[in-house]
Amino acid sequence: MTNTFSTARFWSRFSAAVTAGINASAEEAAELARQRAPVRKVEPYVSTARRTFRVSGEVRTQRLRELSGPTQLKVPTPLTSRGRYELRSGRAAFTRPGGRATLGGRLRGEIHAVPSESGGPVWVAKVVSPTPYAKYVEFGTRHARSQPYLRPALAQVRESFRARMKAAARLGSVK
Amino acid sequence: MTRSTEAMILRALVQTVRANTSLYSQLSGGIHEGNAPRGTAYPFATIDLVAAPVLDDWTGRQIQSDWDVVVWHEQQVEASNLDSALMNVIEDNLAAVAGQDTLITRRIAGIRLPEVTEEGKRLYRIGGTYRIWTDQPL
Repeated sequence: MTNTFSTARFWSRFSAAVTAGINASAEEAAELARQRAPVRKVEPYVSTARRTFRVSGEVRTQRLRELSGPTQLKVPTPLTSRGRYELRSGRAAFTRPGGRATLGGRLRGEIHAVPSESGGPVWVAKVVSPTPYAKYVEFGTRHARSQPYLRPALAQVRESFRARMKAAARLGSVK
Repeated sequence: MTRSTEAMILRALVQTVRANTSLYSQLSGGIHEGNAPRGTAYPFATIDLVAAPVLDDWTGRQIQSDWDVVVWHEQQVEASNLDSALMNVIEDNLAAVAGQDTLITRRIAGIRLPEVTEEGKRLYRIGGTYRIWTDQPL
């Protein structure tokens, strides 16, 4: 009876298992970050409309997005006048990757995982929050305290990541 | 057995900074959780909880907490010096956490976030993220 050990076979199995484990952890972290990302207002919108308003006595007309729901928005926390303006004017409009359009929810909607390329010997998967103001939410500013959502998500997947790496090492060691 | 939460770790962090009188006297605006009140004099420090996952096993409970400890100052060099002093005071030197044993206290990342105020002045926010692991019996 002969017992053979192929380094190449071990490496290909191990590499594939590690890649899969890292990508699964990144996806899990991205999902947790999406759940944690603070969102104050999310309302569907359907079409555009025109609204007339008065600025220092002059009457102006502006194209506005029209809310599909009731005009009285239900938000968990009161909005500032700036927040109300952004909601009313449609500046807060955001189209999700799936095509669903909402007012608000941009920070949450843009969080995604970038999978690691297989092969090694270094595996890097990323959880990206590309929204320009993401760091101000994560780390806070002098006006608003931080509301971390990315780092807690990473801390939360730490244990499951270890378990996945353990499983990958076991899988790689199978002859 | 009375169990304690990450609030005790925050208390220990603040106690550690306050116990070092020379450093604490340099932080003329004091030390605050989250944001400082409007009009607080610079420099001051803020402490923020990032995450505190709790891990239980059959014998004990570990709290693996991360904290942002940041110095706010109008001068970059002073802010960096205070941040460095804070690191030397906190790392591996945390005051006793009530009801918990400290396993590690390490700085795991640096934070540098300069801002410009409404008056056009630069404001430097320099600090770091500290990982504090504690253990308590169940």
